[in-house]
Amino acid sequence: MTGMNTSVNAKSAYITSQFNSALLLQFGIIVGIVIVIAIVATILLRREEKNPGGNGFLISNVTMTVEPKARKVLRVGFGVLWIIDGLLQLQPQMVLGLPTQVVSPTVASAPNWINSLVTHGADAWLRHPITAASATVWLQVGLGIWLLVANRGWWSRGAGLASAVWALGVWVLGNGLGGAFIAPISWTTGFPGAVLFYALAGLAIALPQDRLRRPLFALWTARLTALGAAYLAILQAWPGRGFWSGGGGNGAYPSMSTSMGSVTQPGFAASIQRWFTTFTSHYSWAYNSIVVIVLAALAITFFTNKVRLMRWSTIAYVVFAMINWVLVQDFAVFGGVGTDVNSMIPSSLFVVAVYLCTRDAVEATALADLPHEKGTKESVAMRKIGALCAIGVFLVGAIPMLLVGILPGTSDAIAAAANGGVQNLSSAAPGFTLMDQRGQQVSLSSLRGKTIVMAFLDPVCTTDCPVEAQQMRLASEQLGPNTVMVAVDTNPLYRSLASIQTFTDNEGLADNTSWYFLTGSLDQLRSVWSAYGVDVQLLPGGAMVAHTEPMYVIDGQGTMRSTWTAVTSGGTASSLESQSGVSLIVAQAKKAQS
Amino acid sequence: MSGMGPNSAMPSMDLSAPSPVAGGVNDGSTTMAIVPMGHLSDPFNTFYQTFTSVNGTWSETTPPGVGTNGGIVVASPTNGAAAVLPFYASSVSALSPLANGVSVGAGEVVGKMTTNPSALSVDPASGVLAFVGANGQVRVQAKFDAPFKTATTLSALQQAPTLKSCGVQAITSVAVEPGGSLALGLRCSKGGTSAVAQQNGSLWSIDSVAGLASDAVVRLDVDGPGLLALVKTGGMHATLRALQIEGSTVAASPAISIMNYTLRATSASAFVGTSRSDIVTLVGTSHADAVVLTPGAKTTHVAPLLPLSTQSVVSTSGSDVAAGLTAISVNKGIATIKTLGSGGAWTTEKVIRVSIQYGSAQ
Repeated sequence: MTGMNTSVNAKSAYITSQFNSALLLQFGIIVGIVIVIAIVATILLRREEKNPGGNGFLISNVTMTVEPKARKVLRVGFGVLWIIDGLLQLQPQMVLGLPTQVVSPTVASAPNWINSLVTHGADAWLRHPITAASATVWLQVGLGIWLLVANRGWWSRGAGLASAVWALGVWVLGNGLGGAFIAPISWTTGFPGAVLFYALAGLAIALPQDRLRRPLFALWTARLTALGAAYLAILQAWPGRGFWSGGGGNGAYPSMSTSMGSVTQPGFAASIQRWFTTFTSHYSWAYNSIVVIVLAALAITFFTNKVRLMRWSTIAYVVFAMINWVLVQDFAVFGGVGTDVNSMIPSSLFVVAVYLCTRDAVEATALADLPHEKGTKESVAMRKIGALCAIGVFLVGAIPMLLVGILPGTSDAIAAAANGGVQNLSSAAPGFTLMDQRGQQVSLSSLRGKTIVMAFLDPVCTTDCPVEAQQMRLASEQLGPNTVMVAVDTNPLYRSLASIQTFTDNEGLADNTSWYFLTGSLDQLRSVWSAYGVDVQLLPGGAMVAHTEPMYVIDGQGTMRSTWTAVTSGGTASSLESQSGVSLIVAQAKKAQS
Repeated sequence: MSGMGPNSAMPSMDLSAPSPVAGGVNDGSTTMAIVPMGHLSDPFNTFYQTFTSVNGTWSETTPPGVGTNGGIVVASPTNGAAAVLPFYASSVSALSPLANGVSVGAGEVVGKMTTNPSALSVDPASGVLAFVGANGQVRVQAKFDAPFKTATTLSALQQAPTLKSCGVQAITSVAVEPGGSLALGLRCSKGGTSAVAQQNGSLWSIDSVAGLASDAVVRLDVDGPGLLALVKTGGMHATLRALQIEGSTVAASPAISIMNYTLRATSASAFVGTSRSDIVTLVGTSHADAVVLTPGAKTTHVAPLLPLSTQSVVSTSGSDVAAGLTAISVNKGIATIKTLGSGGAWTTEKVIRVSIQYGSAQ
């Protein structure tokens, strides 16, 4: 993440409140969509019922073969998973935590091209985090409902396609290709990524449903699954990767479970992790042997394409995947920022579906003999109406998500969540009388009627102050002449008029009539620092002056309206955090004017 | 808190200085050495410090109130100025008046200086101060706190008929001569050439330095009746030599090869006979070396060899370079000052601990 501020609080009350408001608004839109669909559907149904023999939009007489069991497992299983994932996105810490605590670490050691791709996606999210996070909730809940409700025809295949497209996007931009670059990659920890299975399932659902019954399709899906399992088994068995030895608690398994156990989570989950740490400290070889055997058995049996053998290896895989989900993946959703149930449940659904494809495969000539289903008029119509509503929910998420990448500007969310957030004030601003860079006396009363954005800057500071000055310049351009930018010198040694003039010139602020860089005698400055709670310290050892960096917004009546600590951690005026800082200045100044 | 922030990620930027700004200056009884300290592999945790010797007693005298990560240049320690060069997001330099090597009074903020040991010069007698701005302007001040005036600019020099033979590309150094006229170190457009131009009223004349192959004037100092320039050639066979310039007469020291070394510091601080000498500190793979370059005299290597941690070698004697050679080695926040005894051995004279504010530039 480019210069992501480590002081940003992912659980900020401001962010939570903004997120909840956005969700509430979108929920209102969804309720509106559902009501409109219900009204239109009622009218259509009445019309189509008058023509019982015809094929209408909601009522049709088309019959289809019974949905293949493999498809049903994928559709229902992944439908439920999408809904769970959507609900997990309701956690307020997802707004800033998803890109910074989940996405960013997955690509820290990735090659530049993937790092750049993921960083681009994360930056787009962080520019409009509230929009992106709330959109993700509805997009995933909508996808889940759509998959569950639409069970046949294009309505259902469309859900599969949408699911595959979104999952692939998440796998590349949010999952860094399934953590393929986080050493040591392992099936036990989630490689090749849960969302890859969502994408594969989506593609399978998007196919014509009888394609899943074809022996050739079953054969190749089984063989490809066997190859994947063989690769994972070899990877797991490869010596020197840390999985065979407990290493006195430093082996791969005990290290992972120690790390998992250190996250705040329910007591029973933490107890399981503690037990697993102790167990694998001594018996990593035993656990790893089972992992290798289960994966190898799956690979061998799926390659043989013998249904009876595949059944037993599928059962073994599902059972052990659930054990691994508990022991290694720590249920995936407790503690930290849980975004999904991790890979064990999706991969189990996938393996079961591949097994069912093989078991239920029939030759094309026998397709006609399969039972067909028509469904009652009511059930077909209700499923279509339900699917329409689900598509509505999906679009309430998908449309804003598409716009996130192209929306201009940067929201104030990151800045407002940084350094303790924004405090609202309502007391009178302490008075001051100082000299500006033009050599003219400026006081609080002389600025009455203007909204004041006030900061405290050191003209020879090398990091934050020049960035703050640039933020104020950019905010000033957006706010116009009714808002003035006032900076007070905080360096007790560099406070001459010439000094603040030079700083003003070099920061490109000389022509800005709303810019006031104020200085005065040391006593005058100390008095202002004290009144505005600015702590100034001269440090030894060639360091710059240390000073606190509050920003204040004072309204035209001289009342302090809000304060926060300047957000400059991006290091440049063009960084995402700085731009968010500009948006925060503009938002707070406008609020003071309203 | 500005100056005490967390170790947040910083965008990458080129922080390498084009030429060393460590070194020192001797000015009669006052000697100042500039040395980098802290975590030297991390620019954000490298803090340049100045150490001053007055009558042989060393103390830490770093200009306060300003981050020194960008380097420090010093001119005329007894009655001159120190400038802290810009670093990272800063677009200005901080100027601090010096009295006997110590920053006194309030400082001044000036435009961004070029990163060069001779970017700043003060005539201690008249108090005239000049610096070379990164924007190609040479700014002059009649005395500290007086308004700055632009003495010349890169574009003016490029158009000056008398400097056509150089084809000025950059101003790298300035020296204020007694009387207040200026001398400038210039990089010329013809590959591998540089020049020293001297001001005569509103005209500029080039000394015959241009005839010597050199691609940079590393430093430029007033040397009694003339100027002393330390010039460098680049490329595969990089060399250094000192030039004594008096009118059109140029006396050169033998060139020393620096192709297997990194130039770490320079100081122009002592006389050998009638010529002021430059002392350069070089660092190789296994040791640091210090070489005294004197125009018209044989090059001498300071013996015995210095440890790799040596950041600077200066002389505290204004009249005999060998009499007061002092080496300063650094281990994070500890500076060890050693003097070269008459027996040819280095003796630890003082250990100064500096409280380095790690993380304060982030």
